[in-house]
Amino acid sequence: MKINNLKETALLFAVCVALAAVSVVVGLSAGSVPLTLPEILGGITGKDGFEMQTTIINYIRFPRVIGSALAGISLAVSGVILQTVTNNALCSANVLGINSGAGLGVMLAICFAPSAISMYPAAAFAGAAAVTLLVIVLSGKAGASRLAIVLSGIAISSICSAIISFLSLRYPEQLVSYTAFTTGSFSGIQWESLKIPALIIAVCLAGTFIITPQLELLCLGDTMAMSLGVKVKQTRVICLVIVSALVASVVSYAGILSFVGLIIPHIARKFVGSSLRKLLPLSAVMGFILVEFADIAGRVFFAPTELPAGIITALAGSPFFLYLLIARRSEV
Amino acid sequence: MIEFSHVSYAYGRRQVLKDINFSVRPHTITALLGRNGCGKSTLVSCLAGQLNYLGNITLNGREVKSLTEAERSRTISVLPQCPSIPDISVRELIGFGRYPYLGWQKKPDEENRRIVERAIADTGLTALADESVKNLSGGERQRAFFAMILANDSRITVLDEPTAYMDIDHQKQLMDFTVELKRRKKTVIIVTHDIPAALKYADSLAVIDNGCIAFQGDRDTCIKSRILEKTFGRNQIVFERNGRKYVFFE
Repeated sequence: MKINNLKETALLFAVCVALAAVSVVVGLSAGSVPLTLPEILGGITGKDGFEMQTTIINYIRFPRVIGSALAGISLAVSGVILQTVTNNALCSANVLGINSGAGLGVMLAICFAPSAISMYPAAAFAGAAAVTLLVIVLSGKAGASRLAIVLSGIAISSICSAIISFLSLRYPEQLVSYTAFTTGSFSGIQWESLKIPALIIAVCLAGTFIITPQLELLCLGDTMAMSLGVKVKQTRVICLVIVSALVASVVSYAGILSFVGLIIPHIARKFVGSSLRKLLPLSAVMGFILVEFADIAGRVFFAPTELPAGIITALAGSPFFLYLLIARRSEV
Repeated sequence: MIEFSHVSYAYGRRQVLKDINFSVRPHTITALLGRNGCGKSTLVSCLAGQLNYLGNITLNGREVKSLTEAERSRTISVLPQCPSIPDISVRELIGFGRYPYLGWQKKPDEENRRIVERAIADTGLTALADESVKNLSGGERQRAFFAMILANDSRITVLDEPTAYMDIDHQKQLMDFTVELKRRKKTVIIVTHDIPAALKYADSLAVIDNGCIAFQGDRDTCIKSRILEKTFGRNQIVFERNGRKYVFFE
């Protein structure tokens, strides 16, 4: 399945971008009030007679489509970065507990400062950064092997999940937010809750673009990367800050979305290998497509009930994770 | 000239290098020999600027620690014992060798691309240039990494146990690579347990024992001194064939 030549790579990117465009159109169309293509166009351009469509698109569907697109891109890119930095194919923000850490930060903010929505990204970042630091320290004490990193992450993730559950019981009035939050959902997203995360994600993606050449050399191992002039420790720290910020931004408005960061880099790698100049953009587009369609599937297939997108991604991701554990056990 | 002067290093409380003093002449192959854990790899890590050692290591009079990352990466290239095998094309891998010479955007210009293509051609990898490094055989991978070192064009190359786990053909191929580097006026330092190969290819041998330099000199002096016998605790057997000395250990 691996693509080696430029023409096929360009074709693959074109297909993925087209699929992403389709997902946006379907995302704007699908929902409790289905919209046709002319209605979408009328709603976007604000034509007379399309007031209701304009309201639905501007205040409900667009924030949701943009929110899920940003989440897919961010989680997929964070997965690629984490797997490269740790040289471990089983790493993702979810497996390492960074998602749960960010979630715990937001839950604490919801419980103790429910009105301070603008503080959620900061709370999520604090939680994500604390967990990242803890995983590095604990896995270092456990021998710093790839298995130690994964196991430390799983242990910390469990602790964070337990505290989140405890908080939901202790503050039952937040239980509604809790359910949607722990599964990852784009329901009811508003422009207001997207502004700061979108800004942070844009900065992080720019940072990723700048640091890609250094990051790329880490695939040769620390010794060779250092020998070629990469400041390995500094690069790792910058990458982990970027990952924490990306994940925290998504968690702050969408909750904990599972497995996107794990499965997407693997699927993209099957096509373009580990070259980050191809892998990062392809993963970003594929993440966009997966989360967008997961959100649409949750809206359409179980209507009138809405299934959070996180449940769909977890349903797809968990078997894939088990497959990786079994098929690539020698690399763990 | 590379000079190690009173170099010492400790991992925590374990003193691995104790007052190392020796020198490496330019455009030569120097083999570092010694038992497992004697400090050979630690010494080359110090030279590569990866460890914060005590003492001085100088390159033509300039302290290694004072080199910037960019200067160091253009001066010393290191091939570790078991390099990670990335799922990237051979051309991309070899292109990594030019990383220290690229601008901040790290985009190779025509000159850098030409150097990479020449390294690919010189190592006979033209037909495999677009293949993934992961799909290559052991010998082909070895050539790909060697081509990366050629593209890096550093003055000093450090090979840490390069022939470990290799069959005889690949061992010979790699040692021939080191001779090619020397022919291109590069200085090569090899950490190895392959004593016969070291005696055959190296211009100078340095034997490390218990964190100190127990011997430095050429092959004949090394054999005469019986230092390897003392270091490895095995009787040395020397025989001559066609005017060349071969050494075995009981």
